[in-house]
Amino acid sequence: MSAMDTELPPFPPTIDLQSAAWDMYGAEANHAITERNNQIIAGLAVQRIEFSDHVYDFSRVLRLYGENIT
Amino acid sequence: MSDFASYDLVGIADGIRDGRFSSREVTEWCLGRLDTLGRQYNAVFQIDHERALKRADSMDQQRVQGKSSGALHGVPLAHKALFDVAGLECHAGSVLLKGRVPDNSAFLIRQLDQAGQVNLGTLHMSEFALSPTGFNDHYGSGKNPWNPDHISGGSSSGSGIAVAGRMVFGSIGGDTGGSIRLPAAMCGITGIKPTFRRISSQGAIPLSPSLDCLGPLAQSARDCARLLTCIGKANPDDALSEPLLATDFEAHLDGNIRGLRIGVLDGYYREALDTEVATCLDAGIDMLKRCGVSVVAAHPPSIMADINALSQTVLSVEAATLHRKWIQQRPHDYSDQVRGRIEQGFAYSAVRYAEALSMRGKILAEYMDTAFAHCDVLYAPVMPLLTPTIAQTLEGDPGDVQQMIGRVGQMARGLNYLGLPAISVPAGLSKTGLPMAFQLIGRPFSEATLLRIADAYQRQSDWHRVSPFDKS
Repeated sequence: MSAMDTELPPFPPTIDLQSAAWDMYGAEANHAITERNNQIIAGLAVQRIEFSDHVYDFSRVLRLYGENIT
Repeated sequence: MSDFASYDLVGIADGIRDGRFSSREVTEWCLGRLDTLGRQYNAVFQIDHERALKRADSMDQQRVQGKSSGALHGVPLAHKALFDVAGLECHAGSVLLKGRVPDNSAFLIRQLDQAGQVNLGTLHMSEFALSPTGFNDHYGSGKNPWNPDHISGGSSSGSGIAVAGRMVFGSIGGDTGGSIRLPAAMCGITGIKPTFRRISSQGAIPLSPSLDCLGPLAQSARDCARLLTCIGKANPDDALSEPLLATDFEAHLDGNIRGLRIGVLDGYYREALDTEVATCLDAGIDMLKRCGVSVVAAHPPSIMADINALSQTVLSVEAATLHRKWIQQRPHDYSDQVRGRIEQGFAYSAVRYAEALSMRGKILAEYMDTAFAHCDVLYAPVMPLLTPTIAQTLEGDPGDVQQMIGRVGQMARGLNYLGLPAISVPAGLSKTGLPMAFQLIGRPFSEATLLRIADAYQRQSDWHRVSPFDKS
């Protein structure tokens, strides 16, 4: 395995257009989207995630509300 | 040579079965259209003439001997270049995977082979399935068969173009955020995204394993039902697919939808709708009422926009995970737009991604308790705007392009996070002659109900029969 295989882009990512890893199309637009989504998820998670959430396992809920489950 | 443009998939299968025409005749006709119209509208990557004709001859020979492979005996199909087909190049619309020729076929391709399909080759798609518009910087974008200046929709762009243009009689696509429903809607055909994991994805190149769904695009709901029956069998080698009993979806199509309750989604689904789209939706629901359903108002949960954000986050993190090594080693083999969208995924923390997935069951329960409180099926637009031109989807700075991509997929994307099945049904033509559609959204595993309603609608309307090249 080469060093490149394990090297990750910097986190949190910096919007540095000179950086090889982030010399990318739409860096500023991406930054705005990820910032917004991070805030939305954080807000939703505070209201919804509890230790008893195993009852809300996604596959289980799909089947719970499912039609013609045999 | 005969003209098969007025036939749908079921009609072609019946004609071959009854000996009214041969599989070779139909296959030659389809290959001719793929070679001409398919190239012109950028519907195809690779046409497999030799194997297709050999297969058609074999199907004809079997028929003469009184043998039938199944429900697709001798029917020419072609599929998105996302699925492994033994001996055919499968590069998912990328440069990175160019020259990749799998030894084995994907599970669903094997099911279609067993049912008797004649596979004509691989169809155009957006690079790595990552564009709802049909954009592909390496091979050129898909062109809408109704007007080549407009987008075809994507990422199953070739499937939409080829079926609408009567180059093949059905196609399997993939849908991670609308990629079956959007090209179906924009090209004027029917397309169903099944429930999450209802169809085994073994042998399909993934984009976001938590969201990816595979399903058919074809002229009619009945055609889709036949294809879904063929690919919907349980895969004992795929621990992730839902082990449900095989269903004959076509057997449910009796035209009787009396007593079903359809909820017309308001709120988020009616905001900023193009007026022509709104008028088309009103006409569609009026027709469904005449078919015998009762119609109620349905209210989506207030967090619909947030559900799109969750879907977008899961998609980009999973795509970034799958593509990280290539992005670092061969960044210039990606188009700028696609690489930029994948790289978004590096900007989320593990906690945010885990939170997005941890909330999925609870948010689905909220959606079911709210939107489905008083109905069996939901009714919504597939997209809020008329099909834009290719130029409109590439104009401006990257922020403008992202915004347009977001708007095209706005009504479709969230359903992949929720895992719900949805079908896109052609429902009209705009003043400029471009197809419009509505979307029916079902409870988990309710594909049979969705197909039954769409089929009942199509018994009363002709929008699925209208073809861009063969106007009657």
